[in-house]
Amino acid sequence: MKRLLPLLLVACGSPAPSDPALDALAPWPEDPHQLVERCAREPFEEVAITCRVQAAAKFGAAGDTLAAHAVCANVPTGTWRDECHFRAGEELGHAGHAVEGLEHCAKAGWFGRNCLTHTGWRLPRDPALHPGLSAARIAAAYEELDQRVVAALEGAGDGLDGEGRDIIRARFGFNVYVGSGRASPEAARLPDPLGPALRTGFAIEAARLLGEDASVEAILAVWSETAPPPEGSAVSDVATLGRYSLPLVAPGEHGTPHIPVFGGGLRPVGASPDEDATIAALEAMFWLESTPADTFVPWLDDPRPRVRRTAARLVGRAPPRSLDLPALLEQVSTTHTDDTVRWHTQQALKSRAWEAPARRPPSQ
Amino acid sequence: MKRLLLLVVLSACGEPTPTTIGECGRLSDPAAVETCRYEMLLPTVSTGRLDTEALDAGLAEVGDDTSRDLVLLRLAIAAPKQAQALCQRVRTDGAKEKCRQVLGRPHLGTERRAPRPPPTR
Repeated sequence: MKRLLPLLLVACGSPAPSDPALDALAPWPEDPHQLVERCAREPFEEVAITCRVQAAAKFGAAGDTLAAHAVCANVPTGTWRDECHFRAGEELGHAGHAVEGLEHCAKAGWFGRNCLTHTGWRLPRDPALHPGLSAARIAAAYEELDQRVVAALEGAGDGLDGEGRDIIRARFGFNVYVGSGRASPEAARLPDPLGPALRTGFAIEAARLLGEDASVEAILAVWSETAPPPEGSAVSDVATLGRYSLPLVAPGEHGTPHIPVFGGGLRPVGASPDEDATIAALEAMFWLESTPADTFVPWLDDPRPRVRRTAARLVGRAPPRSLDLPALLEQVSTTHTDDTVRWHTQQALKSRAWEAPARRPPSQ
Repeated sequence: MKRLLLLVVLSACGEPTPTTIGECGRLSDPAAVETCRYEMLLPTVSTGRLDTEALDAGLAEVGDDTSRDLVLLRLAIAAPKQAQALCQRVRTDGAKEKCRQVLGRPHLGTERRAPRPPPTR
């Protein structure tokens, strides 16, 4: 009933002087404050909704999370309210406010998972945190971050809180190492749950710094301290981008703990730190865009199931150097004794995944 | 419900009640004309699939491109699953730009399914 009176006044009053259709399709102001005022004057509810979503995104890009929350509160619940928080969350993440962005992801309903990936992986690097610090100092910095993440995701249902913490932890591990110019393994020896995330970062940075000399064995030599940690220049975020894969988990791996890796994929966690370092080294070699499928072949028969399954997932997703990859995948997918190894190679064969160009996320 | 509200409003004003999209143009208030056209075509998207025959027949009765595009844009926002087909029909630059806000977000048009299980850690 409260909607009826204004409508009566509009409908029965003098015709408006402007063309409302033309006004509704006119460009919106860039400034979010002006845009919110514009949304409030919009006579058509549907256009007002998208106007507010745009305003929330702009407030997010400006780092103003409170204003974004206020705007989204005026969007009707459902798809567009979810979208409003998703847009605000990812823009906050893009602007370097990932944790504030997660608060929006917690309210993004059906789009919460997409929001977490877009926002959490944009956690900015803190240049003051690097592998040259003590492991205790790095662990303490993570604990502080994790408390903020837990608070941001409070009340998020559907497992989003756990998934958001996993993503932020993975990105933290990546940020500590990758691009730092240092690959000392000390911090990567921290216990679960931070240790595996740091091991992924350690292995990637070691691979990056080893360059043409990189191999799974060379990374593991650094891990076991039989070789000195490679060193090099610290690099910008752009230079920390690499090849990434999909979050493929075989039916036989559903009981195995996994952690997120660069670009939205998942990797299994090894049964011991050394096994986990081997898995991280395989992932790191895949991250290096020059690594051919041939690199992963010797690991397909590793006695440790999680190691050989990781190799099986990656071998079909990198272009071969001198190998007849389709023939190898065909053979492995039919004769290997491990069902999960067979599953991964069958997936790669189905999509001829190695033919896809090496891909990098558009922005991380 | 919206349609009923419009009819109540129009009856209260003493305006003729439109029964076809072509009659919406007889209303005196321009905003009410736009909403009348939109609500006449809302059933074309409300069953979960786009009734293109009814939509195109209705749009043909809207002479003005801007008004026609506003109807299409509002329908695309109300039914993002149909946005691709609706936005393909817009003609003005303003509507094309605003359609991008919907089309650039493909998840809006996806079926809402149970979420995939989170990582087991």
